[in-house]
This record gives sequence, structure tokens and C-alpha cells, in this order.
Amino acid sequence: MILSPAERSYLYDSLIQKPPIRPDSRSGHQFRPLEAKTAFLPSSNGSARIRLMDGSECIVSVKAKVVLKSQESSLIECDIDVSGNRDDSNFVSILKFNLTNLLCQNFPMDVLQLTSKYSYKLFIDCLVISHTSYPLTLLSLATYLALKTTRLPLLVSDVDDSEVEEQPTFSDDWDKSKYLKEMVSSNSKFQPPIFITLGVVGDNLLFDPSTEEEQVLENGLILSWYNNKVITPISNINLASNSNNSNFKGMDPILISKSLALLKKYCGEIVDALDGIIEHDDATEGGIF
Amino acid sequence: MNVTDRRRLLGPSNAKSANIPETRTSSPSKRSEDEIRKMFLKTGLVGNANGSAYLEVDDTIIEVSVFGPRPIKGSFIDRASFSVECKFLPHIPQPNEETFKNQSGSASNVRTGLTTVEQKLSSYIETAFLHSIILEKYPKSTIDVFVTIISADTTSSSNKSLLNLCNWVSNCTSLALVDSGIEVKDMVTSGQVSLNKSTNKILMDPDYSNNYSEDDSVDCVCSYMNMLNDVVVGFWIDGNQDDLDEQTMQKLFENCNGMSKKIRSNFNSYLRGTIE
Repeated sequence: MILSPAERSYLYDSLIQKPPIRPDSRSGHQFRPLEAKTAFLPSSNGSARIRLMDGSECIVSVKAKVVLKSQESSLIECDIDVSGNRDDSNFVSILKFNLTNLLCQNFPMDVLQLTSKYSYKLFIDCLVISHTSYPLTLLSLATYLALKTTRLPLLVSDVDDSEVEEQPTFSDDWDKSKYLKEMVSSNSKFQPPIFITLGVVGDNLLFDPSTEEEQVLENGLILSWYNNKVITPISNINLASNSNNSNFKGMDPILISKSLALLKKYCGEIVDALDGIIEHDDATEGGIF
Repeated sequence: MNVTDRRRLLGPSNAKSANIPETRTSSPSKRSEDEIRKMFLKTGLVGNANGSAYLEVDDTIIEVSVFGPRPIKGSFIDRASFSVECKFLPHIPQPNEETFKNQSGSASNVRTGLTTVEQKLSSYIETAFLHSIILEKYPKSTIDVFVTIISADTTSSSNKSLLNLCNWVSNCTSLALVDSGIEVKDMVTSGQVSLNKSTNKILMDPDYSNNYSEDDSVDCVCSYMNMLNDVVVGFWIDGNQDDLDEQTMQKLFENCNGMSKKIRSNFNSYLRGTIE
């Protein structure tokens, strides 16, 4: 319990105003400021680190492995480690379920194709070093950045190996490696899917709720965003899972429709901002904050 | 003259052919699109639980027992804590388990702890029932719900059969809670529908084992409290939907609500029957 009953009631009353008054004076659709660095882990194909102003921090690393397609059920595997939580706890399992489900369903798997028999498999390792609010958005934004900066070695052997037994060989020159975004067919943009967390208080929907706000929310929504569209999976969740939130209640289905409209309005900007981080990062070489 | 054939082994002369009933051709379900599959319900089967329910729908068999309110030791809490544990029987295949299995860590075939799929089901049920139970009435106690999935339909390789299972688990849990006599604001009932994108048709309680084309649909499971203004307490939309708009959403919710109402009226008549 991080808030006293009086604090809870004060916070709830201010969030239910129209427009909501949030403790950090953000508007309803505003994210907390974040700091990010990409491609800094030398031994992985792609990496990203995100830090929020409240000290939440997350590192994501993407590694690729050449596999026989026929032996793999899925070409993406996520693993999540949250410091202070057991790996088999409900909290970590649900994060893992959500991220795996989102990526396996929506990631453009054709970019991972090598030959008719072989393919890349991506291993996405997420490490949440510290977190105060529900870390799913943080995780998925870091995954977005890591995937965007993932580089895979250039294939030099023949693409068609349906007739011959041949293992794929790769160019030794790392400068010739290709970004995942360059391997996507030219007419579409490579933007991996992301998760957006929304809090529900009264009729208000709050983007990216902070820990204090989570304590008084009436419900929470997890929505996915990909290619400038709202996609499935979508579900609701109790964001303050570890505390006894007495405000938690059901919601009007109209609010869920409203959340779609809000996402369509603001999510484009979020993705643009993330792309901006990568461009800025490429331009300035430097330490990892 | 009776000539017997000695070169061949013949059966006895009074042999009768076995009476094998005509093989039933797996008849495509004759259900209309807004019809729910027949279910079998039974409450109070588990003697040492405070409440329990058993439900069978086709291949899906679920048992839920509710333990509580049980007193806890230690510090005082003003509201009961509510927990749900959802488990498949050890050798039952789980829907879509291939995707969520950690291949690198699967050294043994024995499951230790809950799998990711089981955790997801548990957390859906917990979220959906958290609002309905009047936890304030039971300070310093816990309410534990144990769900056992005895059999499940896992023919679909996507999440869809998981959604269907989610629907029946939540309905069964709500019956078990009623049986336990724990005070609730309203009974939670759920519905699950599938919307085919190309034909724009809604299918209630879809049966994925029956040659169901699943590439082109979006599925929704949604739990309601119908007597409290049809408020949504839990929902999960999944499927191959690349652009979800408000109309689709509305349509899915409306039909889920319709199905949850049907299930509720079935439950009501069952419960009325148990009193008499």
C-alpha cells in the first residue's frame, strides 16, 4: 500500500475531473519522458535501453540464430526477466505471454527467411532492471527500438537450396550486414508492433499511468498498435496487481471503443518519436547515458 | 452329398456377422449461428470445498472448487485477498502451448509450476471476478479458487480455442462462487464470439474442431455483470485482425453480451432446479 486512504481519495477525485488532473501535470494522452540508447551491446544483433524519469529501466537484446524451419514452431522467442520477481511468477508470465503473443502474431516473419530450408530465429531477451508502474509498455517500446536497430549478416550463399544440401554462408564483413528494416519488401515500412497501456478512471482514459495513478484506477487496458492501426490482442488487466485496489471495477464497453479512437489519434506520434530517437542516436556517437 | 472344402480354413457354418452400428459420420454442427452448444452442469461435487462446479461442453471438461473465506494468520487486512489458480491435468495438451513453451529450457517433459497459458487463464479469471466479489465483507481472510481443466479442445493451433476455454472456465467459476455462498455483487457470465472478416458474420460459441476456417476471423471473449448495467469486467480480443475499428468492436461486444445473457438464463434455471 503506497498511498494512504486520504491520498487515494484525493488522487482519485483529481483524476476523475474533466480533463483529468494528473499528479505530474501531464495531459491524458501524454507519456512520461524517456531516455533511450540503441545498438550498444557489441555481442547482440540489436539492443536498446530505455530509462524513464522515475528510474524505471529496461534493457532488450535481440540475438539471431540460423535454424531449420521445419524444426521450429515459432521464429521468435521472448524471455523476460524482472528484477525482484520470480521467473515463474504470475507477473512475469503474463508479461511474457503478452509480448510473445503480440510478436508471434504480428511480426513480419518473411524478413527472417534465408533459404527455402533455413531461416533466422530471433531471441529477444528483456531485462527490467527496475520498475515502478506496470512495465509492459516500457518493455514493448524497448523491444521496438531493439528490433529496429537489429542487423543481420549478409547471406552470400544461394537462396534456393530446395535441390541441394547446402548450409547458408554469410559475409564476414559486418559493414555489409543488413538492418531488418532493409529486408522488408520496399513498399511497406518496418515498424514492429507495440503495446500501449491505458488506465480507466470514470470516463477518462489515461495513457501510460504512473505507479500512484495505478493504485486508484478503475480498470486497465492493454492495446496493440502496428502499421498505424489498432490490432489484436486487446485485453483488460488489473494494473495494480500487487496491492489491494478497492477502486477496481467493470467498465462500459463504450470506453473501449473510445480508447481505439484515442490510440488512432496519438499513437502515430509515439512511433514517430521512437524513430526520431534512433535517427538521433545514429548521428551522435557517445556513451550509454 | 456334402462336399466340404478341406483346403481352406472356413469359419463355423452358423457364423453371424458382428452387429457393428453404422459409423456416425461426423455431422457438421446443425447449430444456427447464434446457438450455444449444449452443456452439462453440476454443483457441489467436491465435498471439502466451500463451493464447486463441474461443467462439460463437447470435449471441454472443467471443474472449479472455491475455498474460502479462510482466515489468515499475520497482519490485519480489511478486505479479503482473492486468488485464482488454473491448472490443466498433467498430460492434457494445452491450447497453443507450442508458441509459449520456452524451447531452450524444456529439458524435461514434466511441468513444474504453472505454464504461461495457465497463468494467463488464471489472471483473466482473477481480473474478471475481482469486482464482483464483495471482498469488504471478509476482512482478514482469503478466497481461493482452483480451476482444473480435465479435458480441452486443442485442435486449433492459434489462441482461439484458448479464448473459448477462457469463456467456459469463467462461467464455471461463477457457478462455483454461487455454490460457495460467498457474497457477490452479481453473477459474472461470459460469452465468446467469432467474427468472420470476409463474410462479416458472427458465430457464437464457435466449435474449432469442426472444419472451422480460422484464418480470417477475429475472436472475442467478454465477461459481463448483466444486472449491473451490462458492465464489462473482463475481455480479451484476439485473432488475425489488422485493423480494428469501433463498429467491429461494438458488434463483438453486443454479441458476447447476448451469449452471456443466454448462459445466465441457463444458469438461473439450473440453480432454481437445485433449490427445489
